Amino acid sequence: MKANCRCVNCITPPHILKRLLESSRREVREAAMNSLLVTARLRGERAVRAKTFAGVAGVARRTIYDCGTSYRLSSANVARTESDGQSSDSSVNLAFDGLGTTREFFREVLGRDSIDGAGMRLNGYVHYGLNYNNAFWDGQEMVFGDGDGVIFSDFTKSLDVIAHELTHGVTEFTANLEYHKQSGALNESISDVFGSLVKQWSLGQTAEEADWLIGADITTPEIELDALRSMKAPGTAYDNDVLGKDPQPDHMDRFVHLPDTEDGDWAGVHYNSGIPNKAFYLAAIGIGGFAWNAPGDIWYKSLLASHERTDFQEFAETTYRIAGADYGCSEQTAVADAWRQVGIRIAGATSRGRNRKGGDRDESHGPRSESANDCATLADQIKAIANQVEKLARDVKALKK
Amino acid sequence: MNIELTKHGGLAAGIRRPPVCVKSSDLPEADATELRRLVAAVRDESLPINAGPGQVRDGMSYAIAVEESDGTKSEYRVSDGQMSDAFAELLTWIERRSKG
Repeated sequence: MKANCRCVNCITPPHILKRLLESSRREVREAAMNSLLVTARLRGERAVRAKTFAGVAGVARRTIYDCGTSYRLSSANVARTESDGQSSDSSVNLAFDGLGTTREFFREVLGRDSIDGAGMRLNGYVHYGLNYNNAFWDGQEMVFGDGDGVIFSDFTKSLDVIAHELTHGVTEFTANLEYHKQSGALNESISDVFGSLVKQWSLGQTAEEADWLIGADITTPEIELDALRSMKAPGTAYDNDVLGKDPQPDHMDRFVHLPDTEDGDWAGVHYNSGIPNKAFYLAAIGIGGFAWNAPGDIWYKSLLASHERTDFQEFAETTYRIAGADYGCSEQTAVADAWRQVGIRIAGATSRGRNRKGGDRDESHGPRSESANDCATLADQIKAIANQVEKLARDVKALKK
Repeated sequence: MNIELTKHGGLAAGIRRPPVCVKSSDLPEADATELRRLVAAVRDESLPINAGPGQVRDGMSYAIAVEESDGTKSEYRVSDGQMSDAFAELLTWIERRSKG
């Protein structure tokens, strides 16, 4: 396999290979990328790599390292690169493929080139620590444990977990939401949202079809546990004597107040993320179809428009504004209603039952926001004007006769 | 010497995690000696001061409480992303024992 690549390298000029990197066909892009890498290596042009690949869309190079159950990343060995074939280690392959799928999602769906938007390398570390029940982003790379085999298994098994960690990198390079209190919970929620969307995208699932679970594939038969979290129904992922009850709230009325310390999960960032998680789920269901389209785009643009201390209220208002500006009344209404259902009201988007005209709640369609009424009023006015224009056109035509 | 390892945080921050306890008096002499050596190495190491989460996301934190036979108590804390060699060695030793 490698021998064939080398032959191609010898006869294919680099500028053509670079053009092939922009091909719409994935296999062509990967073949070109592998060829360029091997060429550079053969010539000993290590410096060429960074210059050649920096900023070329969709070619953020993946490298997977094996920690061998050590807690030291610096002693990990390279296990797979873009120029290597499948590894005999399934964790290595799952991490490699998961990072690749997430990279493709951000590029193809959101037009983002890797973590930093400029083709940043994707480094993943597997087999971190002994019985390590976790995965994390350390500011530069993604790290995955094998699990203890009792509560959790290999953390590379869940694509949404891999995408969750990579998304922490995206958040760091964009809004850089502070990792405590509401901004920290929002940071966690953003990772859950795009973690789930990457999985849904890879499976071709609509919002209705998706399970909206995070980490469903890393559970074991030993413990009754659906997943780490449920975005659809926060607080229901587990409830047993060993793990306790899933503590995630699904409404601001049940917001969890914890100390802003390590032991307090930085004021409950993994707890209160349930609130914006549920809001995204409701918005996606309200809008309908594939959640990575309008809902994902609205949330991504809202992330880009956010800052270190953005809280739930501000983020909700940003999603509402972007939904109205970039989409339409129905999407904006779905977003407002989603936030309202988790206890976050957006100014100017109160329920229909209390609108300024004193109109009644539309019971047949459930509670509707004022924005929905505004939209409906606008639609009625446009329709009335259209009817008038049509009537005028008929009158003019009749006069001409 | 009594050792208690507690963990916090991580992706699964919400789950219950009972502490792992080890008593040197319950160990074979060779293991007890090894445990004392590992604890001494952590004690001699300058552990990083943890002022906040830094850039680590979903990282776990570890606290190892040590009670000496004379009743002296001390606690050592480290988080993912700032793991020291000696702490990692002690952590691995405790994890291996707790796994049976």
